[in-house]
Amino acid sequence: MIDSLLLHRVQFGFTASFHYLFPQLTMGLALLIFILKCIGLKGNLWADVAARFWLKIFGLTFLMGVVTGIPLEFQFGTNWAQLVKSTGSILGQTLAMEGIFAFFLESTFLYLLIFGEKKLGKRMHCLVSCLLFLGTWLSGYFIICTNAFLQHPVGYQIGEDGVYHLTSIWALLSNPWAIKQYLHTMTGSVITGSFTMASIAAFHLLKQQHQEVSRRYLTIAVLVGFPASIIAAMPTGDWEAKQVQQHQPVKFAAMEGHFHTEDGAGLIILGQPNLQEMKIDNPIIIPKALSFLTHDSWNARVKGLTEYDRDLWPDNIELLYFSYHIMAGLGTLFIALMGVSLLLVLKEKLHTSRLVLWLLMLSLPFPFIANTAGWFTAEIGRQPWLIYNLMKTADGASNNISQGNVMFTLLGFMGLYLLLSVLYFFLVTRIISRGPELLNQPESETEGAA
Amino acid sequence: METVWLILLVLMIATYIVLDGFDLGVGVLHLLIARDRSEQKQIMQSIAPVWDGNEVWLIAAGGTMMMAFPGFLSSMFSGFYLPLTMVVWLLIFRAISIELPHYLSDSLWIHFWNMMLFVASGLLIIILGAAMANIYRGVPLDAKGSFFEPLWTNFRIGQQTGILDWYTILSGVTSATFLLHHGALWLVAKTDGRVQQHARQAAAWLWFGTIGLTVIILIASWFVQPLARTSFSETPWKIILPLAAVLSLLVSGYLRWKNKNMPAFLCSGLFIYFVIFTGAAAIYPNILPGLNPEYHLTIYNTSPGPEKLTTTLYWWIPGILLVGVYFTILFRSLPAVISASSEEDH
Repeated sequence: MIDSLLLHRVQFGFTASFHYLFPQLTMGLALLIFILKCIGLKGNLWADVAARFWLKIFGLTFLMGVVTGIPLEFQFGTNWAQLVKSTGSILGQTLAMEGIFAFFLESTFLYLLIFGEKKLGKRMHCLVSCLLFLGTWLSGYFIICTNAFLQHPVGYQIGEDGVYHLTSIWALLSNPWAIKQYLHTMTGSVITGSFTMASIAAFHLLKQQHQEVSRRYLTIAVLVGFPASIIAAMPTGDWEAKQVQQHQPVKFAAMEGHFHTEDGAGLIILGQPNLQEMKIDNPIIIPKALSFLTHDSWNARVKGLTEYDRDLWPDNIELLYFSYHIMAGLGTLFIALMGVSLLLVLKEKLHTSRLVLWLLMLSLPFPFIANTAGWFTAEIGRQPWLIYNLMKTADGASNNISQGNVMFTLLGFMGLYLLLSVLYFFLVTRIISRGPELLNQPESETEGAA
Repeated sequence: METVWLILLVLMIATYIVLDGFDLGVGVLHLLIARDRSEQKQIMQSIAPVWDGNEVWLIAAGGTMMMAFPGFLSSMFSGFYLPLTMVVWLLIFRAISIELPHYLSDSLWIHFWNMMLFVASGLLIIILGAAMANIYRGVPLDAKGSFFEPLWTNFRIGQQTGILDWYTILSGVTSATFLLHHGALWLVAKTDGRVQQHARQAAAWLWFGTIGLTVIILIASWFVQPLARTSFSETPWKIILPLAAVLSLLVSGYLRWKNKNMPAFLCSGLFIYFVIFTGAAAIYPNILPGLNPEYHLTIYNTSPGPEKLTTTLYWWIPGILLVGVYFTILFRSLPAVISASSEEDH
């Protein structure tokens, strides 16, 4: 028998992780497409061609984001009924706001953006791409606010019956946790967008197709991707780590693999956590760096996991530790790769440097992995709490659903999402293999023989 | 204050059904009406730009329900666990069936997705009706306000209800007829040529079906839910709602006959609003009746309290006004009439 709580968690984790593969790309691309449209306004034809090509991929990815997002909204009610029953009047605020302020905006202009270029004209089309960009980023903020309430609850009051009441909508929306989390998350999304663009451009350059357009938009991707990679680490990653250390010390110690309290604690770069012996096997450590990063002092004391009651430890420390280190490691790789690419762009050599083009092309999956690993860190590290320090995950799940039913829907989602992945890859590969230059007319819809 | 939010919530749900209703209806009708690829595209062009916006009403209504009546949402969603998960799956299939043909060129593939759209839309409108009927009929709530219903039992209403019984199935068929009629009127209003002509014929037949089923479902509902009888005898003015529904439907038929196509469609929308408000008014102030009268979920025992709900209105009202602006832009971006030949140019 499998515990139905675990199944609820796996189902939400799986559907949310799968979903977030798409929005991280669309939010990043929305910014990049808007930039391309602005460049196009100045009469640069290549930018319009590139924007048209990326809008095709954007449209398909957006659709995947929409269809995989709806199950998440439903699952609050179906799988986490106890959570909704006690905190629905708070979580519902930001979820309803997301629908009313962001989704309506996006759905109104999406079709016009993708199919309306000819009808709208250049200026209006650029404006619509700006509105879509705002819509997607706004929706990101509301959902981060919802998550931030779970990570760092603010603006609430608990009634005698255990029901949470909102005391200030403003506090909920300006949750300091949300602001830092949002900046870090959106930077991650821009990294995904720019790496995806750079990767496809590199692919076409290596194949010696569509070179004129690809070379130019590759430059844009690098010019956006390099600062994003830096900002993801400094300052937003740093802020994020500090706020975790301050408000969620158990999560912090677990994700760093820091078992014992130490003065002048070292930063673990590699190694496997060994929970039996409470140590890291085969560690590579930068001495005193953890103390410095968290307290700005090389000899400061950093509390270890063993300081805390074992019941309050996240239930999967290994996964948490690996997720965090994969994210941080890939983040470093992004800075290095984008840094080299930027140098080559400045020397106008990037489009002929085959080695770097190969690396850019192959790096396509990494930002997706890094973003997913980042969310694994945030969410697995929050355990055993559903609302940090207030409500345990076990108390939030629906208690009237037998585990067989959850198993059934989990497997159903897995099968359905496998189908969606296959379709997405099939269609996106077709768009990529046709490339940007065949799309030099602002067409309305793919015609039968095209 | 709870009553105000109930009205707003029912308004949002009804708006969802009126708006997504016509594109779901069209999602079924297209396979029956379109003769070739150009007619198919003509029909799909009338819903492709708007279906996503229409569906957002479901999400917005869900969010509003969560903040205004969290106890209702948690009880209903977990109780209808399996059917709601299937609704989600169908919504996924519906969405990709509309959109993927944009990216495809093979006619067999396109035909496959058109058939998927037919199946998914058809099942969704039937389930929508059955779901409404389940809420109206009541569910086996326990003292903690939760329940779990099997998909079906013996198809009777009584103490051991299933999600499907004769009443909810009747409601599913009724909703399918209402929404096909609604979708047909949309096509009559937005298309021309052969498609419009066939949609008009379909609307005429469906209009008779809609009238018949309206009468049947009103009578059945009177007997199924004892709360309705108390409600209407205590506050007889509520009888205006079902009368207005019937009147809107008759006017809609008359307008269609007079070739006033868009007004006929709007009247059909009005009809659906009144039908849903009739149901909500019949069980008011309950929001999810229990089979045991002690355990009814009401708008009072499922909401966080009046003063919390008042402040929410400050952002909710401007938000909905803004949505009004978006929808004006959205529906104005559609051509007034979509022709089979004008497909290249939109």
